[in-house]
Amino acid sequence: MAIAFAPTSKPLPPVRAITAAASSAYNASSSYTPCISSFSNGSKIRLRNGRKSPPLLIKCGGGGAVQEIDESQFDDVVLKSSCPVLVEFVATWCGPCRLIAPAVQSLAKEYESKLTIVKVDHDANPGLIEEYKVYGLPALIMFQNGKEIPESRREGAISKAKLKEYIDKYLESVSVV
Amino acid sequence: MRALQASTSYSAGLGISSVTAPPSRPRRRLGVVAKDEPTEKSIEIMRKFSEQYARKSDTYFCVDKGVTSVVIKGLAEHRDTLGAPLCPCRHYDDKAAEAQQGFWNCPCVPMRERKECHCMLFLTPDNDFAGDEQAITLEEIRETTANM
Repeated sequence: MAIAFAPTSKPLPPVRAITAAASSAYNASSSYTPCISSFSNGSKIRLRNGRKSPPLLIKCGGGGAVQEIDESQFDDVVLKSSCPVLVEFVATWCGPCRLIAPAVQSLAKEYESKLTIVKVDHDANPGLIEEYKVYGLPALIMFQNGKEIPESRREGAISKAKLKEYIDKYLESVSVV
Repeated sequence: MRALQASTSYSAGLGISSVTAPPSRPRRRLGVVAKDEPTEKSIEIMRKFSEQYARKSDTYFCVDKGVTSVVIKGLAEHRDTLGAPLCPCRHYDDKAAEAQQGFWNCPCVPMRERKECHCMLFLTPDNDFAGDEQAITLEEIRETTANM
């Protein structure tokens, strides 16, 4: 019987081979452990990057819309932005804020690839207001490389043509630098 | 606190009995996001004030009455919460103190002195945004601020 089995046991070597492989894999598993841990480290790094990278991946213009942001997003969206950011400080019951909204909106679309435009409500974000000393509303401040562009602040209503001039001026100075 | 004291001395000054309750505290939070609707009464008071002051100062409402409406509502909101029509187009570190100080209570000092209303409620005729009206109805205010 055993002999009869012998030929049929020919395919055994592969079985054995599999066993061997399995056992070697098993043996190797201990040596693999560091690999696994380094892999999980790797995935942690990716997670860490993943958490930080979305703001970096935000394209200029935020899809051509004016995004409303709060204090907690200011760092990522404005200060860490790779392109210039125009921040508009507004209030709910502020007439001129409402007046310039359509122009700001339309320019956000027009400058989609070069500029991000965001708005910040003054009442809900006192920390930012205090930091940037904004009083008259609406207030516009242009940011680049994590800093307010000197003398870029403007208060009050502005026509679309003037706003365009204002943006162009800073985009030019930015690209020269 | 301040409002309460004021109301006490007010009733005492007029010899009203102590039974008179202090005016019900404006039903809102102090100085969080100003999204609440102001009271009808305050809107009406500020609407009338705006019409009168425009005529008195020879100024006109914005060609976009939505701007006028929003500002009137903002003034009404501050009247409700602060007891004074503090300008809604500025940020204040301390609204209550500012309202008491009065510089930015409507009509603010720049308006009274130089006809400068950065809120665009009262525009001199030479202003690009000036319309030709000195009147606004409650209905207009309602319509132009309906979707806010």
